[in-house]
Amino acid sequence: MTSFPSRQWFEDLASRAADDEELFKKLGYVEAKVGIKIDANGRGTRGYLLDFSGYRVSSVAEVADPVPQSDFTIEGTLTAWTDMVRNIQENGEPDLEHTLNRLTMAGVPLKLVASDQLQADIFFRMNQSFQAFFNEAVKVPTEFAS
Amino acid sequence: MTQAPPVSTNGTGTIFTPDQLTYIDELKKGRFDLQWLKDPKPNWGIRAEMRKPDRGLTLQDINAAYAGEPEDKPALRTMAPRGSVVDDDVPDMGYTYNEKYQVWADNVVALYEEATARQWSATRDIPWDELKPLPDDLERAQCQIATLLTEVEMIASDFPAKWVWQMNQHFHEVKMFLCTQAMDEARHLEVFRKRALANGGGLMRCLTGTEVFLKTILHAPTYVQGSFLMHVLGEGLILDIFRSGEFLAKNKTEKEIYRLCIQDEARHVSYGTMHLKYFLAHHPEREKAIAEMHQLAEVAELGIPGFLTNPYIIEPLAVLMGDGVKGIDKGMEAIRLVWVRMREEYLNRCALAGFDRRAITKVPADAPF
Repeated sequence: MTSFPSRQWFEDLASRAADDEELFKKLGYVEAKVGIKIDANGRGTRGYLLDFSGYRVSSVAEVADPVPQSDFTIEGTLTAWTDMVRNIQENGEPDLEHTLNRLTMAGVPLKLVASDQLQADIFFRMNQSFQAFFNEAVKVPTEFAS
Repeated sequence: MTQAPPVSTNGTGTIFTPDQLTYIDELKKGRFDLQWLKDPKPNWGIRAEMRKPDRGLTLQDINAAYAGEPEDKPALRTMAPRGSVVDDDVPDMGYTYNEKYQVWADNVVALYEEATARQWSATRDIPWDELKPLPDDLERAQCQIATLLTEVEMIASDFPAKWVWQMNQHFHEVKMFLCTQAMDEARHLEVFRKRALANGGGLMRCLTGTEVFLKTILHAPTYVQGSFLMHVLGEGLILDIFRSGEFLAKNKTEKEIYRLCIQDEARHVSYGTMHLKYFLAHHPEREKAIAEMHQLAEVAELGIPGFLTNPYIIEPLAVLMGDGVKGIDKGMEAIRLVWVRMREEYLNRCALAGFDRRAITKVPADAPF
């Protein structure tokens, strides 16, 4: 079991995605630095920077604030992130209400943050790949932080 | 009765020219020309390398190797590939867009590769078997939106098709990208027409106002004006409709349709934004060009309320958001958020392109309902 959120959890996610290379090749390559920002429900913020390169995530770093280094960052509370990951794991994929686009569309419960609109548009241009990446959560045995 | 075209005999009594006859005689004697082996060979020895082998050999790779940077004003107006050896007497193709700033965007090469890597099939890649019967009001709402999208998407095929042949082939990457856009939009027409006809609802109403806006794009007097109207304003709005469609999807079929369309549309918007930026940054009369673009935007922005106060657009969306006609009030709350988002993203793109409209736009910051 890997604790969520943690650098190890995102690395495990990246490993599962790498095992699924054919799927990600079909969806198309990605070149993007994606930030994940998780507000631990008032107990500080956890930040991760995922470097998408080609058909895989080449590195995961834990950073104080991923926004300045990322093309775009998805941020939200630990509750929102946990809800999304749990939903994917329970259903084998996100249900209709837990896709990345759905969760970020209104700015809540998740929010898309980017330095400019062109960077934000990367999230839309490669959305299938980002969704497929998080769908790999179904293969990562997870222990959720309370 | 049709008349057979005259047969030219080139004064030789055959279909061959005197030069061709001379060459044929030489060939019969076993003598080859081989001039092509003595030609200058400006690319000889060039071996473009795959910088990222798992992706294959990209346009960026070959551009890094040779003749990758287009000239601002190419001397020729031909289809001869950039960097090739060209005959002295090649004909002028009659291109009207012969300067880089008129068509270029700094992201167009990458966007072409991205487009080819992310093509999909509306027949094969959509889980049509997941489509299930919906309550009548939801099915009608989905089909009204699908009808609108079937109607409007093809403009983004017709528009590039109108201009591509007028662009100098020296800027082949732009033409290639616009060809991918034409294919994307053909697929969007296909997928929304299929959605309308696949679940009992059928095609619904098309409106005069929508057609008027499409006509404005199609008949825009210059490429950059039409590109602003279509890529930045129109497709920017539709990108948010697609995002809303994914948000509101009632089954996996619709989720997949909208998510795939989001990707395509966002590429087009990205090109349009960066083309406008390049155009304004490199225009020989920059201040005048910016002023003209503001004039165009002032008129074009009237289309935003035309779109977002249209009952055939916002009410079906509100019904989907409210999960039925009975929840339409709740749905309208979401429409108000969409208004704010569309306006914000449009203004962000204008600012990025180098003509900031935030302080002068007439589009209200909040929905007027």
